[in-house]
Amino acid sequence: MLQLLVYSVLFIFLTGVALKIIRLSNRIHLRCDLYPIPHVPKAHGGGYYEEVEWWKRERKRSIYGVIKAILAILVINRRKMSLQPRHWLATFLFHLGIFLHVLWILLLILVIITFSTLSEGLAPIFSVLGFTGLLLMFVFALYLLIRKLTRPIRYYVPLEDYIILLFVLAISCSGILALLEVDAHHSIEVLRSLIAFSEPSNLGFFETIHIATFSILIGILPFTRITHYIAVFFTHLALWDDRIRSEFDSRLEEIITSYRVKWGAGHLNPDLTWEENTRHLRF
Amino acid sequence: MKGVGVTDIAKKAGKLIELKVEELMKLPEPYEKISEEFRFMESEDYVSDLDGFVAIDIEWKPKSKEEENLLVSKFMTALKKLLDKEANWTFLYPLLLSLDYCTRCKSCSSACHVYLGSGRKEIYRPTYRAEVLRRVLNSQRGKFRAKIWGSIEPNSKLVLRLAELAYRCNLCRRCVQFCPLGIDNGLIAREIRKLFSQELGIAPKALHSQGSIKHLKSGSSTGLTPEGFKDIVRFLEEETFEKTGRKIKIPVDEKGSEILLVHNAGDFLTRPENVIAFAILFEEAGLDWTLTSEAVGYDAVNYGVWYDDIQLARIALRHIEIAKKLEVEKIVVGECGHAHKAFLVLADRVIPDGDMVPRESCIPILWDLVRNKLNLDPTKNDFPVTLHDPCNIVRLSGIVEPQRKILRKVCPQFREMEPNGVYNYCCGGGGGLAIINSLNFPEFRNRISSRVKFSQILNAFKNSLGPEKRNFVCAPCSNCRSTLRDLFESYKAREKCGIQHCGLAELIANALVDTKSSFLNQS
Repeated sequence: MLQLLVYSVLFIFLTGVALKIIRLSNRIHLRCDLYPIPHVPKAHGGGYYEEVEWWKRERKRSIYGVIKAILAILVINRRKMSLQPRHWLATFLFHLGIFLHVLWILLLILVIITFSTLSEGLAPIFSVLGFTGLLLMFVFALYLLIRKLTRPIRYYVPLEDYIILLFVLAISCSGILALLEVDAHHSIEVLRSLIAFSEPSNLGFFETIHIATFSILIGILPFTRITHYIAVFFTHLALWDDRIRSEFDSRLEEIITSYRVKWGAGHLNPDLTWEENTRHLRF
Repeated sequence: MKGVGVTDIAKKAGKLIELKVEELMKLPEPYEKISEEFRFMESEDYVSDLDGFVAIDIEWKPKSKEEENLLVSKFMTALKKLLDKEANWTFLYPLLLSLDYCTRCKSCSSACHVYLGSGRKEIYRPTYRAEVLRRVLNSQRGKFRAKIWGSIEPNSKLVLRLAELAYRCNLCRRCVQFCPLGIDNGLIAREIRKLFSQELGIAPKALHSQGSIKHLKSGSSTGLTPEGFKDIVRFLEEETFEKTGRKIKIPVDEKGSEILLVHNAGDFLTRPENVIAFAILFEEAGLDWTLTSEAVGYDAVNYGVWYDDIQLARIALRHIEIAKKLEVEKIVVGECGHAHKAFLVLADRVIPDGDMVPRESCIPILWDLVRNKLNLDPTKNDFPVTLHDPCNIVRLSGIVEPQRKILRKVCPQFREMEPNGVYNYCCGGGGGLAIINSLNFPEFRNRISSRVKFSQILNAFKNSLGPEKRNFVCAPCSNCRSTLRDLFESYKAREKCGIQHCGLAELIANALVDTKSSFLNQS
């Protein structure tokens, strides 16, 4: 049963994430530049409009700047650090916990698919890695839960957030208790069985809870706001999109000339296109 | 005290919040112990039950249950259109990203000058209005989603207050810079304004009926007609000669010129010194330029930027068409922040004809003149000067350094305010709030939305404040200057602290070696 659950949720997760990426990609909208734009290699956050006759100049793009900005968003999150240092530290450690836990699973899978065995020297290191990740997840999920329940932020928190945090607490708590009973060799055997689509043997109570809750969370993730780890790239792409008109294909022209405005206020004609509404005034 | 919850917007009787002067953010010396007061409104016609201030100066409160139902029904229709890919192709994508992925970490609140200035009042958090919109939308997404994501059933109280609340944001988008996920709460505020304008025809008069409509109808939101414009230009030529001894001819409708310079028409009427300074500098440098007397064209403003995509497109199209008719090589935008955003950033993807006339900011050109073409004596500007960064020019158009280079060159006592550049605070008049001067709204601006900026300015000049001093805040934006003018007047900042505002061009003109009298004294 457990292996069926794992494979099913992996399928749902990958499909959901792929659909989400497709849905978020390649949309045309008006510019919403927000400086600094990292691909512009200019000091102090400026853009190409700082140049006289900017359209005659070569527009340099900095890949290094983009990588730096993405790392700053994902890892360091400098901006949040400056305004809410304590909350930044807590969320940083929470996400680090998730990262370490996923890393632990990926390393175990690596051992399995390379047909190598875990040396006695490495086994405790794996256990410490897994344990640390889960502990960070547990402690800081608890912090986030308490914060959301007690601060003015509670007015804004939807039920979804509490459900997910309870899942994270269940996953981390059961994982910690399971790791107190078994070592990395055992974890590899369990994972090997799951990958081979066979029922793992000698599965403890906490291990079963851990695998089940973790699987269910993975399965529902694409349908929750937790996919912000994907959306964050697209929000920033929109903010950094400083392409000018000539860099667009005919799609933009088609939109302006064929989409109907639809809005019904007196100064607009809902049945006409954007172009027609722009050219023909109504007061 | 119990805080104001998101659902209270639809429930609470009376005002949603009670603002108290003593709870506002403290101002620095000499305003630390100043006594201030609020003049709240209570009205049966206007929506005064948000915070006691009224931005939407239209009598649109429903008078019967039927009218209430009609209002809510129209609002729900507008929401559907807001999520329609044809009706809102302009901003649907960033809007959905911002609605769907906020994690409610509240980093945005600490970045918002309105929230900080108000003494951290809940309803001014950038997320408050966003969360209301989100929950109203969730209420239409089925019972399960409504339960999981949180929902509010809309009623007329919510609709009326939400519209007002959209005008408690300056659209400066500083909150977006500090959001770890890039959630655009400034955009959400504008989208709320937009749905009210584009579906219900509801917007402050200064923006719509007396703003963009008047602009398109009569030539300028100021009411200035083409004939009136020509008269003013001749008057400015005489004024220039009288006050500076310079005999200049301000070119108007010169076909085939290299530059079409467009000013905020308000500058011709209330800040002519800025227009004169540009004329002097451009003539001195021998540039080939012209103004236009064509209706709509002589007013660079585009209020659609703040509340209505179609009005934005209409004005942008007229501007481009006028430039084409004049056969100019490029349009140069004068010292007007939102016109920068309209011309440089937004017009680019919204007008029907992709054959655009190149548009650029006046600021890099002014820096080019200062660096290469003008004979300047910086000692003429030997007084404390700080720079206010207009959000639309700096954070939203990416023009950061040229204005600083100019000030470092022409103002020996230039000092930055903190924070500055792309991380500046709004003047408090952004997003159209600068021009909403009806009823009691200026009080909201002067006491709350401009509070952080005033504090920044006082700190920038803290060692040189006094009635006998001359401290200049250089604000290269017409609306920022209107905001600062009212702010300084309301706090008697000139009388008490010697604080004044000026434009960038005036400071350069004042430093010209052969300007006989002080240009700034003339203003």
